[in-house]
Amino acid sequence: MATVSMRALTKRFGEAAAVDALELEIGDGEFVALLGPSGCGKTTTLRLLAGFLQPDGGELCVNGEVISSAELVVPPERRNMSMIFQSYAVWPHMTVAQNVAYGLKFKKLSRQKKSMLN
Amino acid sequence: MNLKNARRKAFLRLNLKWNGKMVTAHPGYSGIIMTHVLALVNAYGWDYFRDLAKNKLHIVQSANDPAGVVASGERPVGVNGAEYFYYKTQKQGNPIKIVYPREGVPLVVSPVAIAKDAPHPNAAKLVTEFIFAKESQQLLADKEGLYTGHPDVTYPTDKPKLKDLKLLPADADELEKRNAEIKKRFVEYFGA
Amino acid sequence: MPVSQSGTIARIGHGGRFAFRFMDPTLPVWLGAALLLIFLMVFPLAAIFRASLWDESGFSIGRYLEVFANEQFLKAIWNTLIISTWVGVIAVVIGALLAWLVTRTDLPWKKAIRALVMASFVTPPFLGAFAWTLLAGPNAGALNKFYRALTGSEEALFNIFTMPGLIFVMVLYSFPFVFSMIANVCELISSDLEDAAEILGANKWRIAWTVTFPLALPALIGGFILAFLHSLSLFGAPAILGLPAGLHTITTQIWALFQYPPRLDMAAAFSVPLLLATMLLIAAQKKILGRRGYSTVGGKGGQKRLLRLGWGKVPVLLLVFAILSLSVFLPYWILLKAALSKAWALPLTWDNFSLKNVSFAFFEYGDTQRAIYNTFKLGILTATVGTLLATLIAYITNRNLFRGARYLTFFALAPLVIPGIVLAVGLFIVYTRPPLVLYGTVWILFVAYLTKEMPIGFSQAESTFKSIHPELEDASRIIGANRLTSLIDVTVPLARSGLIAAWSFIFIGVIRELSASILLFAPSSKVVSVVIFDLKEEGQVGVIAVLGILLLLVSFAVILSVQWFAGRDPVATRE
Repeated sequence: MATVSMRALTKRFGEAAAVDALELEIGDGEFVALLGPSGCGKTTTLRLLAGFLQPDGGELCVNGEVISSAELVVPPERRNMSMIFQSYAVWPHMTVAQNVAYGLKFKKLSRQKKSMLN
Repeated sequence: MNLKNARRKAFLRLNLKWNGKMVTAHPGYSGIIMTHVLALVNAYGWDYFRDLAKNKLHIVQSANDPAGVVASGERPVGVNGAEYFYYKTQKQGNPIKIVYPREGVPLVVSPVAIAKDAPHPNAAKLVTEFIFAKESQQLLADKEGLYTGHPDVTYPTDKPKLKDLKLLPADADELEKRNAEIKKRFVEYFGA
Repeated sequence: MPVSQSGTIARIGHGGRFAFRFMDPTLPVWLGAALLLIFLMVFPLAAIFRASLWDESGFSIGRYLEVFANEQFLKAIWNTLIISTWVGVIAVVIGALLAWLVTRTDLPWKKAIRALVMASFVTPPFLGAFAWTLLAGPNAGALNKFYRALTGSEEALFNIFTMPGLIFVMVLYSFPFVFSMIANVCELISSDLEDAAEILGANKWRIAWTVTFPLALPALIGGFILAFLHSLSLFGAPAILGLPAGLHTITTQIWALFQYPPRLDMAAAFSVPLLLATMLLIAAQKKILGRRGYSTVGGKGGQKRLLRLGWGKVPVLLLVFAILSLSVFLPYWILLKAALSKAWALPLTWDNFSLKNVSFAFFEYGDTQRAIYNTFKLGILTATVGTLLATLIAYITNRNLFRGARYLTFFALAPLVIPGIVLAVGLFIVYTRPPLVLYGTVWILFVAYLTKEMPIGFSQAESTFKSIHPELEDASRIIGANRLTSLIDVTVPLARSGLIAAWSFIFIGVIRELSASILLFAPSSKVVSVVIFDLKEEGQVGVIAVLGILLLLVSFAVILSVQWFAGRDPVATRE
């Protein structure tokens, strides 16, 4: 199980702060929905959480360990998280099966399990 | 074109008759031509070139080029150029005639030398011996139309004998010293 | 896509506090590519500046004084300015006219016209210049002979060995650049603006003059600068057409300084003003065009309706094909004739027909065989390495991988500012002395080509990456693939046709390159363009024509393959 906490998390694009000193605690097993008008920073927050963006200030912690800060950021491929994208991000040059199977390469599942999922 | 008894100075006295009809190679791009120019400058002075330039010559770079230009008909007269190359071009069937002016023909020597600090002087000597052997020199005379230094080499009958020509040699040291001057003057008269 | 599983998130907590978790393991690849790029670009330029300012006695601007006091050099600069200005102006007129006709009128046969403009683009200018000596040499040129036969005149109609002749040929092979740039802009101009003018009562010509033209003006100025810069850096055409008339340009003068005895320091000092002028012009162009610069602008803006030409179609078509026959039909015809004749100046009768030139070039003459081999080896090698490097750099700049990544764009595009022959001067200085003596091998040519063609590879890769939605890579990364794996598995397959195009542009650019090759080649490392230039000295017209046609055929084959490839691509555009 895991907890996520954001402390004074800030991300600026030029002069404007898309995420401004955000404080958020997500407990173990909680379902959280971020709602708001367009441009209020929802996608930015999610991308900070996934590791695609590095914050300009504050910290992002998972289970008490800092994984994002203004100094360091754990890359997305190391975070063991998952994300569904606004654009669906289906790879057009791969078949459906290849799309599904792609991620499994990095989970080091056995061949048997992979073909079961097919 | 009637080229009997052509005399070099006669061209110029005919005052621009050959305007736009001549091609010359450039001493800045060819050692052969550099030597040629020095020999003529010593024989006739810079005035010769100054008057020549008034004829708006077509300028090419290498000593071989004038033959091609004449053969193509682009310019009917080549003022200088490597004689052996004209000869070869003529042999290929192109309608060219070579004129050897009676006042003198610049002699350009292509030497072979062994460097003083050569790492393998004996091997180098073998090479020079090979080059100066009669067979090699005969080959050069037959295939390239060159005159060679070997006394036993025979030449085609349609080429004049060397001893029948008046040769104008150029001194190598003088050539080195006057290199920049020659280039500068040529550019001054011919533009490039 | 896998849905979040809270169980897996817990695993982040385990694993220790090693700082390496924070590092992107693929970083060395990106840094390596960036450093290689900077090294490639900076070294030759630094060498030039150093050679022009320092000698055994220390720092001195003596050489610059020598350059500017020398009448001959000043004349060369003056000639270059006049020629380039004229070329710029005329190329813009022709390029803009054709671009406008093709994009905004209902002229027929547009595909053919575009193809012919592309053919002009692909023809190496020195080859065009050579073909034109066969066409318009005052005494032997085919056109002049025809004119004399027709009119009985003693004079030539047109002497190509003059400044106007040189300008003419340079225009023929510069206008395609302007055409591309302006066609792109014209595509985007929405017809709404023109419709509004039409509704208000303006006729066709008035619309073109008062609406279309001002909108295109920045592109016109940009096109002038482009053509001006292109002609500044040409070497082959001025050498073939200008030198026989006693005309030096900056490029031919630099080349002359390399003849015996070579004056590298003077060549360097002479190169610097050229470099500075080019930089200034490019900066001006960027300012005028805004952010559009060189990349082709995609996207559609508003509706576009075509101007109806009516009966004007016929004379316009004739004009267009007349122009294109000057750059394509006539030169190609004479080259073909020369390649297949025993004596090119005589008519091509059955008697005169011969394949001897072809067999000589390919099977008998060692120089040409070696040159052909070198050219294609270097072409393939440079294109492959260049595309690889350009891909990595474009990825870095596009995804803004580390602080200051955007500055790499400057380095990748820097060679645009450096005329080929100036680059060669710098490379010559760097690589003819220890520690790395590449002179005399094909490798110095490789470095020169890689550097020179980087901008076109990079800008092609960059615009391709721009069209791929970054979330496609993000999706791959969040699943566990690192940046490099994502690049290889996701981005590159989607960018396939763009990268193939980049490869082709680099390849074609390499096989026709002359202005750098002419300074850097050695007897064993000759390439086809240099051999063509050399053979011109020996009057081997037939062999030159064969080699020239070879270059053209290969270039066209590559382009056609690219277009075939591009038609079969999965689309991955941003919405």
